[in-house]
Amino acid sequence: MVDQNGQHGNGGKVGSAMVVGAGIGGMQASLDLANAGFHVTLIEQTTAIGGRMAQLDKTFPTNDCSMCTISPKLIEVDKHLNIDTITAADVIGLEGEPGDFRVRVLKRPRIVDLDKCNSCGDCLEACPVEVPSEFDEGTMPRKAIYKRYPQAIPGAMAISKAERPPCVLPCPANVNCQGYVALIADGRFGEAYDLIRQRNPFPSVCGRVCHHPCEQECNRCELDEPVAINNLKRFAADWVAERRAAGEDPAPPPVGQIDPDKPPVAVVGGGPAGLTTARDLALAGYPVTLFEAQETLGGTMLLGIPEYRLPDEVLQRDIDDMVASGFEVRTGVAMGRDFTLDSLKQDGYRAVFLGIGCTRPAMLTRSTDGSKMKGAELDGVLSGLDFLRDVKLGRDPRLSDRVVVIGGGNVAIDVAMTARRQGAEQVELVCLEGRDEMPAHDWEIQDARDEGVTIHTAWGPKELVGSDGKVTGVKLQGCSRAFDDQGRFAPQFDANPLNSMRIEADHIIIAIGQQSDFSFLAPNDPLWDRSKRFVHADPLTLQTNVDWVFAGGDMQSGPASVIEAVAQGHEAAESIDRFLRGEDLAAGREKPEQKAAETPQREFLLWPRAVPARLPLDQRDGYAEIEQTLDQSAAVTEAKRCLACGICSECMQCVAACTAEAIIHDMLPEEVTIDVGAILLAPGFEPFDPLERGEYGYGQCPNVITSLEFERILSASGPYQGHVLRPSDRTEPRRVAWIQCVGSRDIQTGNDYCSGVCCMYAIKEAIMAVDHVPGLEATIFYNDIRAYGKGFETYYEGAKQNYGERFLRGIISSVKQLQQTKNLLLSYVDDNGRVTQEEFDLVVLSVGLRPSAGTSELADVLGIELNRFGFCRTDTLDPSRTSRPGVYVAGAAAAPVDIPETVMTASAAAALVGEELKDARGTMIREKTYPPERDVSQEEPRIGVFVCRCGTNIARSVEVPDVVEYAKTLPGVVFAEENLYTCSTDTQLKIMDAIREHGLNRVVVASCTPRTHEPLFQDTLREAGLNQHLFDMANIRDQCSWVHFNQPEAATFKAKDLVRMAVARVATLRPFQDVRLEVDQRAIVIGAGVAGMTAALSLAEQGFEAALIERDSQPGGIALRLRYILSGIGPKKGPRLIFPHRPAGA
Amino acid sequence: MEVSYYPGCSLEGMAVEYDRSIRAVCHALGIVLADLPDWSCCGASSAHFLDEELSIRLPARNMEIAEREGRELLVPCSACFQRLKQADKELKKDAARWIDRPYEGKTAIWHINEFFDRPELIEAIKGKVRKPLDGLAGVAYYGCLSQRPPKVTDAPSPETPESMDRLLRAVGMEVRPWSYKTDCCGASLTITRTDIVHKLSGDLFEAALEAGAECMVTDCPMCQSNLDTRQAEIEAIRQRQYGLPVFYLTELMGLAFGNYQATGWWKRHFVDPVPLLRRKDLL
Repeated sequence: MVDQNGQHGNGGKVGSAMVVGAGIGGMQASLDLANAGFHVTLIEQTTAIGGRMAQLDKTFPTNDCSMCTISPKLIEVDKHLNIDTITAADVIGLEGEPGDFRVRVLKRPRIVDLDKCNSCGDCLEACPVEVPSEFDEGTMPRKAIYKRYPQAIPGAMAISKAERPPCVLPCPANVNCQGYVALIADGRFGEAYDLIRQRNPFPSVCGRVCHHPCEQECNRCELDEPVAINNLKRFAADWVAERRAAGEDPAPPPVGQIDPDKPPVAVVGGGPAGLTTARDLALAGYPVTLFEAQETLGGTMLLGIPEYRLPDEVLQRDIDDMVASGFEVRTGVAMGRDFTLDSLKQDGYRAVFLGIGCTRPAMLTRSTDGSKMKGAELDGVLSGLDFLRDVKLGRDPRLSDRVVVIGGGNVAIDVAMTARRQGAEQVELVCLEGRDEMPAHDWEIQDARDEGVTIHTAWGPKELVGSDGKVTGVKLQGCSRAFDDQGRFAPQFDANPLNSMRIEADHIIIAIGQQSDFSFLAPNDPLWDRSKRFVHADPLTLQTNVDWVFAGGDMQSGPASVIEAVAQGHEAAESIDRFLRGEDLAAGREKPEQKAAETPQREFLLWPRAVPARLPLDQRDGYAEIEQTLDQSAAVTEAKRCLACGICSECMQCVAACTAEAIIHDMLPEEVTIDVGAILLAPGFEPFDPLERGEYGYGQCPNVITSLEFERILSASGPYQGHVLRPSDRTEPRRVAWIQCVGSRDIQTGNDYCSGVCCMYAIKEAIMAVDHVPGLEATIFYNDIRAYGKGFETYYEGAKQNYGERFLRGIISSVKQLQQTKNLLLSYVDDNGRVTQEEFDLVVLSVGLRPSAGTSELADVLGIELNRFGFCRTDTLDPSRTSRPGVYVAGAAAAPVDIPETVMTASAAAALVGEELKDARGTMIREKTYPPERDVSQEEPRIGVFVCRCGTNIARSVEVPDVVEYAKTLPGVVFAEENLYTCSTDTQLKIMDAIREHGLNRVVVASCTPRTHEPLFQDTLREAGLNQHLFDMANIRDQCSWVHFNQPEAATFKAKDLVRMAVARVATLRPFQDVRLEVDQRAIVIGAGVAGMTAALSLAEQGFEAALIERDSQPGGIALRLRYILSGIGPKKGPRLIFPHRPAGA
Repeated sequence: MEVSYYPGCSLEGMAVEYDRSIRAVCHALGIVLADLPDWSCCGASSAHFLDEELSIRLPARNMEIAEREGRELLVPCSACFQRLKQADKELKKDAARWIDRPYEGKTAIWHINEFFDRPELIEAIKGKVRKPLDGLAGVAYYGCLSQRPPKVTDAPSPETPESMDRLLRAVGMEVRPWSYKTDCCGASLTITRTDIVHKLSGDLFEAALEAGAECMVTDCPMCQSNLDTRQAEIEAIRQRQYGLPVFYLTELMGLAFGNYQATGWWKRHFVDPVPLLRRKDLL
């Protein structure tokens, strides 16, 4: 099509058009253009075509079913050879001239492969995330993976994603919080546990002791309180433990396939970092040996955390789960004593991970005046760490009388609470920090206080005093500040001797920090860093000075939480794997700053966070766990508080469920450039958002809804399956009010235009409501009824007479909700001028039409002008042209219009495109050629039957192999088989092969609905040389597996019945030929008024001969008798003014 | 945080408990209130009904001072708030007509509930709660002057404000939803057309009871005094017991903060809240 000068032929025009917006207008225009010999690219913003009309229940003034009217068009557009539909896409750039444009289009990632998805719906059951359905205007939920509506074209699913949820980002180990919370809300506790365990192998431990930064960032904080994410994790872990105790295992631990040929790895230290590293490497197939100095695994989790917070058996079950991954454990062997790095090397280990923790307590060395601390050696002065360890090891150190604990961190709190349990009568805690600066978590401080621990803040120990070598108390000096301006720990003390005190004590326990114990290293060991005090590892790769030795956990971070150690364990395992494979350790591991998803913009119910039960104070003398696990119903309810900020949680349940392997979570946006000759805009409208009219209580009162929401309530596929119920209590409303002109003819919101459709749709909705609920009283509060279209007035009168609709003139100023019944009070002035208050069960706001949300961006991209309301600026007498030549507009993007007018303007705009591109007509269309049809008239029926499993969708209820065997017994059937998906591309090839191989002359497909799939199979028949009508379908999905869900016998019986009927019918079919007629491409237009002249001119401009016939002596019709029209132009001034864009004399 | 504070005349007289509770609550939150130096009448009540010039000139003087002070301006009385907002708008349009110096118009003017309703202060408020108002059910009543007309008040949601609801929830109160948050109580007609006040305020009491409230909370001195002082009359006319204490928002915040002075504030109320607070174990 490009000639030697680089120009397109055909007068430099491209024989193809782009239609933007695939509602009824866009679809009509596309079909008109494609049928007129132009190729069409149809761009749609959402994931399916159909637009607003698909959302409506019925259309006025005929009460036709909206879906039934639009669905054939959906199929027609979908199957049209010359319409390419691109969904989930936006136009982002335009260059070129009329007749030769280049349009840049951004395809947003659908996440689901359009070609592979069979729309079976297995993923819908797998997905745990629910968000409000856009198509249903939020009246019902949908899953994060979804089909926009049941009849949607394309039928493939799509996944919506926002930024990553704010709970996941702050987690050191990036545990998928939103994902497991959603699974818990969905009752799938085992899957939730499994998802947690993927990143955090300590669900039971962390569910109890985690500092849960996820909850601090939870967007729900903005509404009320964060979701109790950590308690939910604990619930999932304990639920699994309970099932295991009962002999089931809903989440068996992952086991590594250890490859003895892989290089062996040694892990030193059985705390959380070491265990995580060992597990990750074992799962990756490495032979791993873990060395632990103590007799038992667990590290600080075991020896440092008291049982009332973390019972030993709970820790043990996480450890058992990890050890199951397949690494070898050697306990009671200490580095330096029993082995060294050198000996490990000699034993063949090729990499070592050191995670030795912080086990050496820091002691008081300096007094508040800077001198050496006195009395630190006194009898009765203990280290907190040793104290806790002795308790955990069962040595039962007894305390008596008065105990002072020095320190303000979590360990100090644990020591104080443990001291009480070990016999202390009075426990006092002293720390340098002020109350708000204490490093201990608030909830732990509160626990200690509740148990009677006295806390003295902002005091520093000056001297430990004693007599006879035994401690008797501590002298304290006021601490004026604990941290400097940069937030570094740098205590300063008040020199005033009066600001001091003394506390008597029989024991003083020091809990002011801990360090790693490097006594196993020789002074000249290469592991030492320059200071010779630490072993330093690279913060990103955790590699030490010695390339095959890696270090992490508390040993690197200083005392930190379990989840931070886990995170380091993952990183160490990653590094060791790369190291042993000789890869770059650092490449691609810097974590870019990631934006967190924001709070979704919608109304949420406030309900309080679940609070787990706690052991009563009077039962806290032993080590029974203080905090209890949430029970199942509390956990599910709590999980439902999640706002699903990221929408898709990336829990990957859909990937596991999808047998067609259609889900591609890392799908990226794609930009394409498309050459077209003209652009036709049909982006449609958006309903007015009544939140801008706060006085109507929308969003506050559940029974105040918009007219579009009411359409969904009326619809059989809507939230109540077509029963008219009100949202608050799902009862049938008796008294329903419509309030007209909400966001129309309204100066305050800047919408001072009439939306044109609301009077009629309100009348229609009221008729349908009365139809659904006999006896329903419908009241319409209106400004004036604009029933101006064909048949509209009759419809309006009929609504009054036959349906008893009551019309009251007046603008309602506010809607008041009665809080007990959720009924609504409306005040109005009645016919006698009295202010009357009336109660209604349901109020429907007749919201006006606004340009759709993307219209202003689209206008910017395309360089077209909008009017002050945001609709496309057009000329009164030329309403389909935008301000940019070659760009046309149809439907509600130009002004609010109803469906018939949308269709008319779509055809009108398509005609203008036809004028523009007439020289290029037919240059870019595709035609499909088929092999000649085989003559089967003399053959006996040879029938092939293809029975679809539809993944598991049909096969779950229908015994598909039985149906196949049954089909083989039917008369005329020579071939029958089952297919995973009969509609997939490879199955079409199999069908064609079977037709040839077995000489089939009739085909039956038993699968889903012929509505969407019959044309596909008929096409396959034609390609195999069979007449397309020698075909029949049995809908065993909708009518068998869906209707008889969970009734396999009934479903299979009926499937056989349907197949038998289809086989019997298809055997009787005869070939049928579509007839083609030649058309004389000339037209006569009768009547030369404005309409006739416009039509004749357009036909002529499109290159068709047109004869315009008028009985008067001159053309012009009624327009000749008008002096002025609304916009002030006098039509008498001649056709040039009426048709300013037309050449004179056309 | 330091803000300019314009108490206005109500807070020196009939609503002195409002003033005291604001100062106590701000002190607890570490907010320093710097009284606007040499503040004068805002022009509400009579001036703005009678003389257009005076209706702007009086508040404009105060806005000029506020701009010199260079801090955000807290105006607890909603009538004052509205006059100062109006003057601010007029000054931005044509400063020279009203004052002798240029006017930048950068002073943020706040009434009480929107002032406190920012995430960091809500967090601070939650942190200061020593005695959560558990089990105390009430409705938040905003009245009209701080909300309407929105082109003067710049209220983000003039028909369905939420700021006071959020603050009351932050101190643990059970805030009942209702549809009368900004309905008129009739305060400006309280002397001249008491019959209208009886109707309007009476309807508010009925609605509050219907919503399950045991008390009403407001941040407007006119609403408070109107609903508080007229309640007994309306009870007599309608032959119905309401018994709805009418609190200032900051009184309840102070109570939740455990401020020992709180009990002194509502000694000035006509509807005694003590029995209710005792019943709820809050005193």
